[in-house]
Amino acid sequence: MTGLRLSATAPEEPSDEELVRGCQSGSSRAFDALYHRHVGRVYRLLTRLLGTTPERDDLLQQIFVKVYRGLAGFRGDASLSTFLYRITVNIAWDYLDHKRRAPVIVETELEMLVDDARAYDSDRTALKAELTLAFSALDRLKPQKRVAFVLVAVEGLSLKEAAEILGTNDQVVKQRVLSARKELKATVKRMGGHR
Amino acid sequence: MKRPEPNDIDQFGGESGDEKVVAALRRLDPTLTDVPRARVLARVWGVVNEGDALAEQPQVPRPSGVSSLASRTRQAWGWTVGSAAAVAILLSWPSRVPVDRPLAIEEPAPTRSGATQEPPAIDSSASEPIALFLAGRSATTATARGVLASAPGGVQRARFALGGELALGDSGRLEVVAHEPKQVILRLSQGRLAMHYENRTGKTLVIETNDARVVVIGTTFVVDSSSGHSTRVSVIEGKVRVDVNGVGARIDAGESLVVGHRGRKAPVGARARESFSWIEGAKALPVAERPAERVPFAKATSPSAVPEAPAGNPRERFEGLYRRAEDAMKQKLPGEARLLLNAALASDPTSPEADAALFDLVRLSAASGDLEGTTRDAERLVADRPLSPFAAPARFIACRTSFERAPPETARACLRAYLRDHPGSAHDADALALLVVIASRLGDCSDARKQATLYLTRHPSGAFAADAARSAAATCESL
Repeated sequence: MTGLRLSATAPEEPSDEELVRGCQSGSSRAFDALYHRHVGRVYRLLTRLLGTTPERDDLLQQIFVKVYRGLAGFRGDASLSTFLYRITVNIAWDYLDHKRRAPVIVETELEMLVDDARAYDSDRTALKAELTLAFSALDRLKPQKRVAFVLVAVEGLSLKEAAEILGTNDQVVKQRVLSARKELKATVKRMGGHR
Repeated sequence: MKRPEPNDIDQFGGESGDEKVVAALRRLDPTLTDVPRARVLARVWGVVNEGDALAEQPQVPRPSGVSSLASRTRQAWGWTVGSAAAVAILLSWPSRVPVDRPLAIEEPAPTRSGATQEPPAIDSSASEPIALFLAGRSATTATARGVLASAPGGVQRARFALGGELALGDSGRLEVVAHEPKQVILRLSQGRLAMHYENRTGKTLVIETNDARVVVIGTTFVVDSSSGHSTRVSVIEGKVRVDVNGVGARIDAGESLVVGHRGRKAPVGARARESFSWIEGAKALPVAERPAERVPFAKATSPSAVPEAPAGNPRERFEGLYRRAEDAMKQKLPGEARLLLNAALASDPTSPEADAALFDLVRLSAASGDLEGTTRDAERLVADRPLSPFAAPARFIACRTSFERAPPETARACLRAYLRDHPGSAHDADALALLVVIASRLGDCSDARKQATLYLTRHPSGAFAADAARSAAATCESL
């Protein structure tokens, strides 16, 4: 195979900081490595934020285009994770803001998500029902509440971290999350999913 | 980004009814498989490169990639506006161009970096006997010293090895000036050349005459360089570009242009149509053997096995065939999918999605356990598109197939090179895990320990973490 040569030692994995510096100096390889390292987590967050929308691939593309362009001015004041979170949330929020039409659960996407959750056959049906319920309930929230809720309650960020990403203060985030919980509780109850 | 953990909202949230929502979302672990992962990256590069070009920023080499729909729309608009501008220049040409220019239509196309594109340098040392490029010559006059010649009144017909047919008449003399990775340059020193070029290999075909340089975009054209006349280029199908002293003109189907006539175009004349009819005889000739080891896409396919290509330009044909190949893959018809992919690549090897098609070939070969095919297809992808985001996944698939079907030393060499060339790739953990297994199989305690340590350092919570340490320990204990 072309370019296949024996190597005595395997390469050390570069840190995020090294990859960022590589990107800033124009290394496409560094960006590729950074992409491969973080795309899975970004994709997971995007899915949790948006649900089964089949446009996630397009949004993922937008996110990493923004990442690429944003890296030029990235000074490392915040961590790379926060930087990625912020861009992902902005794109997702924008999408939710502009796509507030009748929310739909895309069956094929849902099937894939269930597959990816590695559910055993016995609880595939249950997981599918839970996800349908979850996304249906989330679809009824305003984007600002939905995003805050996912960041804090699902992703496990602190109020301060979420506030930094959302560009607001932690009290605002707290109110949004509490409000989201209240609405979700009511919605889930109405849908018959709360025992 | 962190795993879910308790946060301060839990301390004051009180009783909530959203546990089900949280639990369901936390169970989500959507995975991006190789193809969408690589596709998204390719699209990112496509958009980024386009933006860089628009901003005229300094560029580093970027992999070619598939543009998003939005960028495709922008490209289409760009072409439309560009074409309109070219037409406007063409229409106003006589009053705009200095009289001493023998031919002037449009300035050389700017490259992405904003510089004008220089004609590629010709390496005359790379010239080869034209016989290598031909098959089934019909006329009695043989090639001599690498030159194809036709006798007065006779016509030489041949299949062209890189795709298509040609016919040479009017005491024509044709030779290969250069055969390079990106282009083939032929010189028509005299006579008439009618040619149908299919461009199966992605190489640009250039025909040089004494006073012009014809860059063939595709597909059927006549270059008339008979003695005593300026070169006349007539296009039957497709389009060509004619360069004279660095000034270029594009000629579309149905048009002809005479060098030295101030760039005025005329309809294709009877003489060109007669020349075109020569090609018909060449179509009956045997299919050419391609120059050995020079043409990456030179896969001989029997004519009956070639799927019928949809109508349209090469890019549209590629997309049509590729979509059909994707359908065939979904329907679990690997043989048909393979044929369609090869046909798509033959129709437009320079398509932005060519690397994706090659990657699909790699996956198909691997799925059928075809080590030779997997390696060959991966090599083809890496050689042709080394910067493609599909290159690394393709190489890993080849290495994994090698692990399953080749001697362990071969697989080990493949995996080590993969890790060296693609640090931090999506398959880093998988490659290290395979190296641990290989070292264990070979009883190589030192390497097993080394690879296991690397795995645990880089992927401490990886799926193979527990087995890595155990496997290395077992290998060393058994010695």
